[in-house]
Amino acid sequence: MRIVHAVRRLVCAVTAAVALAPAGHAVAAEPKVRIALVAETAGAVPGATVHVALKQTITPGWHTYWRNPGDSGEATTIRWTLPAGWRAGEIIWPTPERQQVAPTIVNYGYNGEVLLPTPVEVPADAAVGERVTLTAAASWLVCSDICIPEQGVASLTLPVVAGRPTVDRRDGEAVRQALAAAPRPVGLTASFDQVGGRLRLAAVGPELTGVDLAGTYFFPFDGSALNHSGSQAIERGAEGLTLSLEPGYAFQGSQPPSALSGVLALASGRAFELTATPGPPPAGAHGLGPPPARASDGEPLPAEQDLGLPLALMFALLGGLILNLMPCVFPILSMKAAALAGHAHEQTAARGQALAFGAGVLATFLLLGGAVVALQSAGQAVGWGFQLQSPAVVAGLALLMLLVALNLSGVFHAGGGVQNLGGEAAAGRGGASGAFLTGVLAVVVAAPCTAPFMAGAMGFALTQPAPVTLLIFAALAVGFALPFVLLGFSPALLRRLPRPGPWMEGLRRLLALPMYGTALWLAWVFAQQAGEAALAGLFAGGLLTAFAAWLWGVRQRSGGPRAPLATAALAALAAAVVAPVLALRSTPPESGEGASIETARAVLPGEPFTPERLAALRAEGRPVFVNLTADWCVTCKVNEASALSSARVAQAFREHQVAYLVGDWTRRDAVIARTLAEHGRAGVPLYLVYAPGVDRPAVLPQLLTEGMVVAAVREAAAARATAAVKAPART
Amino acid sequence: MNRRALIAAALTAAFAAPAAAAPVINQPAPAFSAVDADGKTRSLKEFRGRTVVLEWVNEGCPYVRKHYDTGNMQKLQKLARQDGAVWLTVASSAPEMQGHFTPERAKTFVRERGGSPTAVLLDPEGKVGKAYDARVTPHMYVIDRAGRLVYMGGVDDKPTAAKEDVRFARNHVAAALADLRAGRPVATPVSRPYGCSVKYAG
Repeated sequence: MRIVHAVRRLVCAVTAAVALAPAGHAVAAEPKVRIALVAETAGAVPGATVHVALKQTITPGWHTYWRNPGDSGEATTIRWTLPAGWRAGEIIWPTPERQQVAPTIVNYGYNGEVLLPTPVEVPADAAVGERVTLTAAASWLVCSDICIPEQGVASLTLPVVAGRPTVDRRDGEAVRQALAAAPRPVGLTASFDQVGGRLRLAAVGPELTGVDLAGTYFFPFDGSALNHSGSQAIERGAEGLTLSLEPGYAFQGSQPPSALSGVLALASGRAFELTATPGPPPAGAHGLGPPPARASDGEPLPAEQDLGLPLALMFALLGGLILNLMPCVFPILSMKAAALAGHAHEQTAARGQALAFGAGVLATFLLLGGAVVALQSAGQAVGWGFQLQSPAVVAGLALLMLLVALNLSGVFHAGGGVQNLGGEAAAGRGGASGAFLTGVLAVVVAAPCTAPFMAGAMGFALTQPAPVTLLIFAALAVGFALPFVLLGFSPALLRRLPRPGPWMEGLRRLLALPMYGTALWLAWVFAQQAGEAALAGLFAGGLLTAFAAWLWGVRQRSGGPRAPLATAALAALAAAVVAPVLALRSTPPESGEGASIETARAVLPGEPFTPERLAALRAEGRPVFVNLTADWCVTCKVNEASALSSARVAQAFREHQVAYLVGDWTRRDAVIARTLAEHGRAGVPLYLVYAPGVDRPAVLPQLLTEGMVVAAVREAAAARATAAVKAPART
Repeated sequence: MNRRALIAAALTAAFAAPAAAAPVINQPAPAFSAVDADGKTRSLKEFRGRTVVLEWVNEGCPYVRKHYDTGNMQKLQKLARQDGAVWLTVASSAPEMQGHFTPERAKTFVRERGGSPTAVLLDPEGKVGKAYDARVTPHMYVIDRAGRLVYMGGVDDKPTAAKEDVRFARNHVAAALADLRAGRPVATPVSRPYGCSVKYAG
């Protein structure tokens, strides 16, 4: 069974250009930076602004520079060649990294891959339907221990379209994320003055209230304003902070600076532009002392991310093992195992099948891991279960589950071919190829389930270089395949299984029920993603699939002439496949925030999760419970239906005035993906409990119990009492 | 911070200089002594009463090459020498690092490039560089006859590696020398130094 792919609109042609090192520099045999132009949207709208980004892919160990490069280096510049009337603005610089080149030399720049978006104004009279080419001639300095000036030309062809353009399928999401994460002015009130040879920079504003200020850094726009390698000591206040900085050359000149502008970057990744004017620090910018120390300098690293490779591999193996018991996988595997018992006396056949199954599992997991790595390197925020964020994949899976269920119910029998994978699995006929395909199928249907232990391992995997990521996927595969392979290799174990017999027929029909359930549940997920109208299409497709399966079964039983019935069955099947694709067109607009709460089906009164809302609630001194969830996440739904729906939990929330924030990851969402990443996770569920005055949240396990939630909430509330008395301690 | 304080303390001890090591405009320039390409020990004291220009060099750095390939740096050296100023080219690249000068390499560089510095100071341990907090090549400093630091920063106001920019740039060093010649205070005493980082040891 092949998964249905939706045919999408034609994507704009992207011409990647090769960066050319300028002649005369013998050093640069091969450019250290590759560039490409990418767009946020798949078209440009007359009178609107389209964001086009220069993507720099930088050789590991080298870096390019921010607008203020720091003590050495040079910022990337772009010269645009645009059609008449089109106008390019300034680069919207992402927050840079601070790079210590030498004890006294600090640079601000980028490594790996960076997107430098530029807003391009589209003239109001641009002709719809026309295709235009935007060309950027870029030059940049790239340095490791030596520096090379490079330049290159990249262009991009975009159609001029009317109405709302769609997000560019390849890079649009990455450009959006770059724009969303870019520092912007938020109306912070800021001042600076000089005290005892130090420069005091103070800032206050709602964005700096009730947030973790440890690791905050000020990147000045003017390279002479600060001594970049100097320390930046932080003093917190009720509404902001004061940084003690080392003044730069500018303060030695005949005219000291009359303003100090730059980017204030929090360790959480949020960053704000500010302009400070001369004067003493405003009230609320100081008085609370330095922020509590972090576990490690820089990024907050929760325990999951600290998993070493060996532990991550072990967790992956364990997670894979447990995945066997998940409701979507168990029926298929148990039938296959029972069938294998028939081979107890023929060792070679059993072993062959076991190995083929293992190979199928491994190949599929590696393929999935490869896809994740590829998507990540393309700048997409993906994680485990990411394929379920696409309604087309969910629809395909729902139909596949239906087919498997129909087969288990005995509507049709397994043939030898690919089209009857599910049946193959149950009947256990056929040879190695059948077993291999069962392995593939098992992994495909396992996607909706996250087993305990997997989350930590996946979170670790996705923050590692590609080979390590693949290694962890491989460990997951080994764990997943292990029970079945062991069974195949151990005649003793096989003999303990009940002999195949008529009883299997009954069990098969029973096990069809969880498969119908899975199909129904996937249909519900599909409805959340694609809307009710689309659901009708899927149901029609399901009915036709069932009809086709029945026809197929009739032909098998009668053994009659092949042609008419088989053709009819295939035609019906084709129709079934087409219906949901057509239905996909009526996809509702992205990110229905209002819907997220409803679909979370929580009894608890909650509101949608945003980092801003979280910060605001924490500023009020309220304990906050954050639930990051998705409709296609079984574990999430189980927790929400049990632990999070209990009366005791609801009462504990009320009693301690705990705010409940729900982040819905059913569709792609950059903010939630980033929040997950901040906690070393690649997928949902994630449960965070913030105690007032404590910077780091407690992370609850993936499987919740009522007692666990109540205890966590009580503990958080207790912290409020102590926070009022003494300086907050880390949990 | 601690590290800088430590370096400052070490340098103060090493040179018994009265002032702190970090350079401050209109304050006495940090004292130093270093061996030049001819093996002679040169010190700032030796040039008391004359204007001194310090130029940090790394012949592999594209920003240094910009000023040498266009003849801009050589012209500036000639101009300064005609004024009676002392020009000291300082190489602080550590051994094995880009731009490291052996005495022979330093002499070849000056000959090939047609430069006219008073001397090339070999500073592989970065002592002079750190005394002046030199961060880039080319980082420029001008010291007046009284031994006070009157300019520090870039060669000019076009912080790029593009050679064509030299023609349109305002040369801060030439301007500082002109101010000194005319007996005026230096109008632009500081500017943003630009270039490659100095390739210090460690």
